Amino acid sequence: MSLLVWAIGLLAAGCVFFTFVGVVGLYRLPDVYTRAHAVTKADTLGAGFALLAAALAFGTTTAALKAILLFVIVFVANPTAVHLLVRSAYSRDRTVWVRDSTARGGER
Amino acid sequence: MIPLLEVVLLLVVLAAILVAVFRDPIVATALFAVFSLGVAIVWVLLAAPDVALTEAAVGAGVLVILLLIAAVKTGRDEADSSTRWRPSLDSVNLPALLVALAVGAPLSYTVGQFPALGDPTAASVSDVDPTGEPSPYAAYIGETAAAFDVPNAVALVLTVFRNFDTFGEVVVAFTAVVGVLIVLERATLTTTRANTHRDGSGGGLRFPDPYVMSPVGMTAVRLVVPLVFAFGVYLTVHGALTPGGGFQGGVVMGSSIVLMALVFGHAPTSDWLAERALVGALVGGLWLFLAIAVASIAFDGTLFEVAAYPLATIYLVDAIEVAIGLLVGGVVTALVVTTAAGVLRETREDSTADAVGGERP
Repeated sequence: MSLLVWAIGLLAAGCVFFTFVGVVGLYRLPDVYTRAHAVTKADTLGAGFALLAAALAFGTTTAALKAILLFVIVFVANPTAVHLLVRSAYSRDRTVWVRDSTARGGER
Repeated sequence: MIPLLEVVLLLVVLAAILVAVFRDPIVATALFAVFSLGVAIVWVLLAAPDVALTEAAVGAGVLVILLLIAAVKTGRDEADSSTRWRPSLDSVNLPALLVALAVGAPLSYTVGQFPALGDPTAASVSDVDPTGEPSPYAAYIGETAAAFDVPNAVALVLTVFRNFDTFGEVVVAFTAVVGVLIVLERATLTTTRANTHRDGSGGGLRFPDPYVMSPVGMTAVRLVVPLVFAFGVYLTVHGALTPGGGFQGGVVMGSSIVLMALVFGHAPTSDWLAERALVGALVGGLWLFLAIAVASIAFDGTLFEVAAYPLATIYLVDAIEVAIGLLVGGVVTALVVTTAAGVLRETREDSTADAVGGERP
């Protein structure tokens, strides 16, 4: 297999890994802030790796250029959206989760 | 192989039902955005990218922002957040449901009569109609776009064959903005009245708007807005060649301004907008379209017969797309900025009272 195929496979695997981490974080973490923390990093990297893999797979076409542009836009838009979400939650005095306030293995 | 179209359609139906059963307007609006994006994906899968662009920009973008502004300004019972996320059949209006079913049932019945997707013998693309008679549709679709040398047949139909209809649509959009300007109290398009509504006091917001003055948001918007606006210009002037056109490009250009209004606040944005430019885009777009339509008489054409011009038709398609883009961009910007700033005449007394006493504790 050529180097290109390996690179695409690695990027796609990275996408699956980070998206999975994001989903697990969204499901397991206790409050909006920690969940946002998991989702924004994992999701941005997941979508980013997917788009980079697509760009490599398209080769030297305009489709590859569009995938890279999408990559840039996802990298700007995704964290910004989550930042605003968290800022909104904070301004509504959503309580921040602290370890002591919930029993070990307590409520999710 | 997963039937992608069916999966997306299922998601669309699910989102539509959820919109109906959630009471909270903000939740329902968010779900409406999901519905609209799903519909946009359906259009892409049905090979209608022009419609998909419009649906994504208008349905999931501008309309959602307008609905959110309306929900926030009219106030909502935000207090019991316990029931907020609980779907409830109370919010379903029974007569409305009956009407929807009465309209939906015959429409659903016709779905079974459609030809399969991509069927070459379908009446709309075949050169033989269902009764066996010769039909002009195949030639209509296959040859006219080539004959006029305009690759995007949708743009050709919109701006040449059916430009009278398109002009009507554009006038409707123009009238909508004029109506909003008349109903909402606002002396001019862009002068703000003492910034009384900057803290969201016009409605149910009980905190200084967290979306305004966020440095991260501002930086991101500074980065993105020029790209989005350029993309809108590209969609408009490239509409004759690729999917897109004045409607889609205009909405995208307008939403880049709306994005600024969301992050920097509508009052500073409308201060920054030159009133002359906004009115110029609105009225200029309309007049440019009308001038192109009328001037064809000078070349022995009839009214709106743009094929009579001694120019390649593609240039006229481009000119009309630019006119539509100007007007639609102005419409979107003016609608959102005015709705965000404006106050209904009757309720203005109340909301100014709120503005004084509604500071965050």
